[in-house]
Amino acid sequence: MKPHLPLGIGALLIIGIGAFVFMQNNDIPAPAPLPDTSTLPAESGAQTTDSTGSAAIPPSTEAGQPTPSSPSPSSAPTPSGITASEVATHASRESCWSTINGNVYDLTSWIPKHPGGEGAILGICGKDGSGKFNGKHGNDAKKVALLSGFKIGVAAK
Amino acid sequence: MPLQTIGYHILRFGIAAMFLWFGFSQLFNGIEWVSWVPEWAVNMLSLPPAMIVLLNGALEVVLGSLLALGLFVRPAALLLGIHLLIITVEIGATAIGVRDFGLTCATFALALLAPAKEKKNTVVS
Repeated sequence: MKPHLPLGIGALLIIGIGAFVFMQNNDIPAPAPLPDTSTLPAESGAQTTDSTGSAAIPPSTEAGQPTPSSPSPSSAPTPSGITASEVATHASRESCWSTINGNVYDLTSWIPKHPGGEGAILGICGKDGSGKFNGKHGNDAKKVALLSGFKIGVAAK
Repeated sequence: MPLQTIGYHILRFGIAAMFLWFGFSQLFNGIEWVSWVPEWAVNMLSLPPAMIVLLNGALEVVLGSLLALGLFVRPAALLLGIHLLIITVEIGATAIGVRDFGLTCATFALALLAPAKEKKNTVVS
């Protein structure tokens, strides 16, 4: 092998992957407007402390607003909360809602970013993901805090 | 070129690409990695988790670049192997942990396969 060939390939690899990751992280679609929270139950502290008692840290900004990327709810949540049937209509990669510990989360934007793979999130779209989440991250305050950034409402009783 | 040499280069470029991707990802989008920083690391280093992510990303980019360029492959792979071993132990026996265990073994294998004394781009046989 010519002496400079592996060096060249290595340099290309570094530049290529650097550019690829940079573009990946800067190719974020504009977030969809948040659901009309005026129809949600009064939860003035919902974004600072949820029912799990964790501080809300939105996943993408930590200090900003949560950024659900799926379309706004087709029908506004009722004052008593988001029903299971409403959650079940968002069971796809394009719109993924899940009920976890009594709260409803829009996890659409998190699907491609979940470090544990897309399958784990896709598996709880449209249904109650409490068991899976608690089994995996229930004791991890940071993961719980991360999750709270995706909250869009509470589940109907 | 002997097959062992080709295999070595594939291993080296593959491992390098992996560490470069994760390293750059932590540098460009560190906030998504903050939740993975273990408590003991924060306590031990007395640094904010976001800073630890950036430092970790920089380390992986630097060492990954050395692998990609074929420079100091043995020490770089050894350091990355130890680094990945700590992560693997931290994650535990989950799907991710088992996958990382395989990658740890591959990284240590690369350290063993690399020539002890680097001749310019001369490897293995």
